[in-house]
Amino acid sequence: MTDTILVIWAIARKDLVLEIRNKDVVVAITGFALLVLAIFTFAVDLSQMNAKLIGPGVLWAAIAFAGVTGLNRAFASEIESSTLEALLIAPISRDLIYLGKSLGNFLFITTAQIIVIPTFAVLFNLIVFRWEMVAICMVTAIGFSAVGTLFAAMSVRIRAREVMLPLLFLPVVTPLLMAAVESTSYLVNGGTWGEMASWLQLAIAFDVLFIVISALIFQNILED
Amino acid sequence: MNKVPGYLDPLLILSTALMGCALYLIFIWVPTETNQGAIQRILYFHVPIAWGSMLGIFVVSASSILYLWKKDQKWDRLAVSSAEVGLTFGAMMLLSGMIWARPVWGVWWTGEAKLTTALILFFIYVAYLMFRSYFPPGTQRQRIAAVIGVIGALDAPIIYFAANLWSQAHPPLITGPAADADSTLGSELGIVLLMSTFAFTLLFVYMVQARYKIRRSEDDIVDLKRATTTPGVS
Amino acid sequence: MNTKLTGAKTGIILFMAITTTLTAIFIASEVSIAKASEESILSGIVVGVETDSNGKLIRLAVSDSSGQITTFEFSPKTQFGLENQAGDRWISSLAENPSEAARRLNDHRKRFAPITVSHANGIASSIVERQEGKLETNLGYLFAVFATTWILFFAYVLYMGQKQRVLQYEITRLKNQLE
Repeated sequence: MTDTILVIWAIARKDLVLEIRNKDVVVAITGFALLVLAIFTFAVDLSQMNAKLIGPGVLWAAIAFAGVTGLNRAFASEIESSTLEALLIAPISRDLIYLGKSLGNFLFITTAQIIVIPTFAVLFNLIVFRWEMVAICMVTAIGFSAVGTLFAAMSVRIRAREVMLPLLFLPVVTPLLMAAVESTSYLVNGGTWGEMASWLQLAIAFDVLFIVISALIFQNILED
Repeated sequence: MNKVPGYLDPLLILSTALMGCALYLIFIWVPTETNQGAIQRILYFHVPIAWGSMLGIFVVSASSILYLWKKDQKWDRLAVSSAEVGLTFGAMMLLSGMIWARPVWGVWWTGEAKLTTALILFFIYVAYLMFRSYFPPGTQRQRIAAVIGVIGALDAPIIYFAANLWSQAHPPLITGPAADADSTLGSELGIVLLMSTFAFTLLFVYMVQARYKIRRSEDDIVDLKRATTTPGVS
Repeated sequence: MNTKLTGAKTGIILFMAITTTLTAIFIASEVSIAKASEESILSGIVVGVETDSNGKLIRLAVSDSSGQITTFEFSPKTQFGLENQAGDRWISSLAENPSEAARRLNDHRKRFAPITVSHANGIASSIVERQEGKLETNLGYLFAVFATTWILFFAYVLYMGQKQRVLQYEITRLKNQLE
């Protein structure tokens, strides 16, 4: 058991060290998301009413699109430096590789969210600093990294992966996106845990299902 | 080689005949429904097509699972064939639904759960086929495509559940469509719908097997090319 | 060699012939029914609803676009398909729920919401929310569905036939090359 955790952590740590050195992924996600938010502040009329109505949708659309650009990098860097082969030769099972890579991606998305969400609160004049928001961010980041890691691994060998990844990723995560937008809507309107419970349950079910399924079928993707 | 001319294909003859019967029932036999008028006849077309696209998704996911399990080429061929035919049916389902919704609901599109689910599933299978055309050929492509096929089917109930929850939170402006109301047609509606569904199912099977043959010919060409470039192997 | 294409072509011609004929027959009969039937249609707003002491409907007065007022009586079979302000449609017949029918008609009178009445000999057979368009426009939508779906079908089947023909040609060429 501890071995498993150590292996997962070793893979995630490798990505983290790389990330700390060149800051590729987090900068890409954060920069893209902030840009989308900034564009929306003048693309739509942001009165107090409007902000509550459209703010949550804009926030999560921005994070979803930005997340895709970041996830593209997750396996691309492995291909560029030919380290994917090394990872595959290593005597570890494929599901652990998957979990390690998703853990890394989860940490990147979370870091980006830590920067993006306060900026969103400022630009849209909404109060989002509540424990509920932490829960929403967590379940969304887990789901995004679970699905995103799987699809990034799938599309890594395609030349047009910048096109392919969003086409695969966005429709599949729609339920999660709906859950995030709806529960954030409740949150900015002062809702309670009870009101967003069914959405959070849906998001958790989505996360669990996709982590399990992806870990199970991951070996079909990287097999050679 | 298939020596029988294509138009004598029993499936084609049968589905054409059944389609003729279904069209006769739709246009001549069944009386006009009083609440919606003539436009209601779209239903006899729309529902069987929607059924066909659902059948497509089911066949894709089932044959994807079988491919991952047995690693047999034929399941991969079946998956890609039914994905393509299912997508054609899906496009027709969305189009006929929108054209029906305009006069009856007053809008082309609304955030209703079934509509949202259909649209998102349509996108997932568009991605499935795009992936197949982008990825370099080989067993890896078939394996990954099978994984996408399974994921699309797994995601379907979650999407439907979420869309249902979502449309409850956002009651559409146009509610209580006449379609939800009791129809003034009783058993007649059922008969026509059954006949039409049967005809479209046969058409679906015919199209899938035609597509399957194309897929097999493509594989044959790859094999033949390999044989011509490496002498002595054939 | 091009049997597939011939098959597809034959199928298409058959389908097209059947669809076109049936659509034509249908539209022709629909138009002739509309002309020949005893029933006529009147659209307008409700200007008066007369009920007896029990709230049972007796008469309805409808003003059409020219301002002419027509009165209708009801039969127990009279069908209703009326929406409230929120757009919920209530569908029933007079015999089933006479008081609701009166309430809905009065609601329409207060809101000046237009209705369409089908009637024969001064008796209304159905009273529904005013139709969005005329019968012909709805037939247009019906035709649009059939045209677009069949065109998509045929385009796809044609494409498959074409592709199969090209592949067959390629296979024969490669086989000849092998021999």
